[in-house]
Amino acid sequence: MIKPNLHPWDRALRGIIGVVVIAFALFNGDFLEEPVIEILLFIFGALNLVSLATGWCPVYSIANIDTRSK
Amino acid sequence: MTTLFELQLDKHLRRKLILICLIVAFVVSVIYGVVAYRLSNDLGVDTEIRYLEKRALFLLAEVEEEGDEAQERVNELISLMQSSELKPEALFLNVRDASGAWELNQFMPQATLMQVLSEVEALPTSALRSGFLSIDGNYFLWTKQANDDISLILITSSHSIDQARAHIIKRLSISSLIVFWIAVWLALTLSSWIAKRVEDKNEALRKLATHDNLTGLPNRLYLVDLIERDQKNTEQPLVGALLLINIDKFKEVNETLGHRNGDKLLVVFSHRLHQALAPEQQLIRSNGDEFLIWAPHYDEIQATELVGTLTATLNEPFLIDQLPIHLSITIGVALAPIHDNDIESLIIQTDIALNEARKHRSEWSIFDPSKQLEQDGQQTLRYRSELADALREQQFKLYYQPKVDLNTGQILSAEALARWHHPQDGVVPPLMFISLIEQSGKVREFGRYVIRTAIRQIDQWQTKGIAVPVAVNLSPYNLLDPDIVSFTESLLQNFNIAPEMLEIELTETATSLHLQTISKSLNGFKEIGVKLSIDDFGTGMSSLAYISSLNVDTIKIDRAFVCDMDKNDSHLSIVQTALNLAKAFGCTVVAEGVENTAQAKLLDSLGCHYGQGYYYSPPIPEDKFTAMLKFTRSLPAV
Repeated sequence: MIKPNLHPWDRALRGIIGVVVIAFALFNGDFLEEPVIEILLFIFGALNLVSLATGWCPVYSIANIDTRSK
Repeated sequence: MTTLFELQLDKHLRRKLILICLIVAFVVSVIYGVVAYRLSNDLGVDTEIRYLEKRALFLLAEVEEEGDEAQERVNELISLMQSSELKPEALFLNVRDASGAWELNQFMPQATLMQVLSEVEALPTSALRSGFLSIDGNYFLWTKQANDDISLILITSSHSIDQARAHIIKRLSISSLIVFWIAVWLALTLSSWIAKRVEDKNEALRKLATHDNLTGLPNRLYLVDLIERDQKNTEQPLVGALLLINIDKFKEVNETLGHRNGDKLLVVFSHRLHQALAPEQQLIRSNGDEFLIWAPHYDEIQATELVGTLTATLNEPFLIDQLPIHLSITIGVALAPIHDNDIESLIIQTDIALNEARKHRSEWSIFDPSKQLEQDGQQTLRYRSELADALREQQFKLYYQPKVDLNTGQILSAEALARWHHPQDGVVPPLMFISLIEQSGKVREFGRYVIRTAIRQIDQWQTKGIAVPVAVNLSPYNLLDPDIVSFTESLLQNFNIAPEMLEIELTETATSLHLQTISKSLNGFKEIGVKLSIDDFGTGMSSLAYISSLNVDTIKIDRAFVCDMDKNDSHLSIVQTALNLAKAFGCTVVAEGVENTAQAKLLDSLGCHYGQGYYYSPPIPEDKFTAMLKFTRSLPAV
């Protein structure tokens, strides 16, 4: 059961990070020249986009952190 | 005061763990970045140097082979090498052979060249044949090669190291970021997992210490802690009814049905009892066949009604293995604050009430203070016979109650109060055994034991860096002991403790009755520097001349006047008089029995600056008091 644990600001920040990181991983041209780093960046970005979509962070969930306003 | 419940959970454990793990994650990322950078950098430089050495050896071979034509041939070769580079590198070549020396310099400024050469020449001959230098932000590689007749120095600038470093930094910074992200993820997960495990274990330990295994009900320790916690939180005196329920002849039931069924019966019994109670009422399994019920804010009428409900419920038969079993119960009731406001004393009073009910073949009884004396008579006989063993086995423990500066809440000193940790009856208050000791001939031994324990405690605190004076209560009979002063003095000297760290408290009644006979000891204590105070001031009938001649350091106003001085004008006047008297005698005043903020404020406004009482802390065992001194040196201030 996914219970949202992200404040809208936290959520928005993750959205921005997700888009920027995925764009960088896909369109960095010859900058990185390292597929492993590109794949890791893509995963990092994708997880941030999942958090944007659901308002839920799996690590926050495990660590029992909730940034929503009380 | 720190309660058992607070001791179980470190509220900041999770935060501390997360912080530690985050720091570790950061450090790991930094170490990874630094090590990876240095490794890659060293590898790059090393490859460049090896390449330069190969070029130098190649040129050396050419010089050797071409002889006189060497300079021309080398020029051609170097031009060829430079043409393959995108940006021609600065290069310097120096060749020495039997016929002399010649040089070749391409794009290398003279000043830089001199600097590089001086650094290379400065190296001892046995040192490396090749190396790497950084001058004014530019990198230079050099190598010295020689065979039998010819020696050669080749120096080149290096752009590729810069390029390689930029490449390494680019990848490393991004991969360090990813490592940090994974490490943070791991840190949060790991710290939460550890904190959860610790909390679970603590909860299990707390449950084990405060609950009964068979019925799952809390035990007496839980009740005492619960009440103390409530009092601390609400700052209100204890109000409610305590009921002690005993299953009559349970031993016979156990023997008839077997212990297994006896246990089953206890479980069913406790379950039914629990169902009969309101949610705010607390059911406790006191021991084998005894249960306690704490009903907060209950008065005598409500307690009586509760007893009626319980007896009706518990008189219904219990079904064990299809067999209906009828139990009869006896209930003892004590009320707070009518009978006492200390939970330990209330428990003893319910026991007395229970015995009273049994004696009258009644189902229940409310504690009657007049019956306590009678009960005491039976108990006294038992306690009297157990005194010698108790002293030998050191069953008497000192509890400590802080004396506090009302303004700052700072703990100034402690009063040591004896408690008997009785193997069967639990903690027995001093009222129940002090007079017994005084009559038993053990009084000297007991007095010395108390002084020795207190001095040892002062010493233990001092070794932990805590300096807290301790006051001990002595009976006038102790002061009849001719060697008590020299005994105390030698102990203080042995433990290297300043005499003013010890204070002797005497009740006013005692001083007025025995002043003539005890004055020698009192003067002795004053001479060696031990402080003196009068306890329970205002309750005795002593003349002021007596008090004046005692020359005491402290007067302690009895709790009877302090506890209701905000409502009782005559008691307020007594407190004011005592304060004036103390001022005249030039001694300090401590108010006993401070129970709430209002009293503390009133005392402070009257000019009494020191207090002692349940508002700050009840008397607590040594370990708890040490924890209080260490962690909460300041108690509530006015």
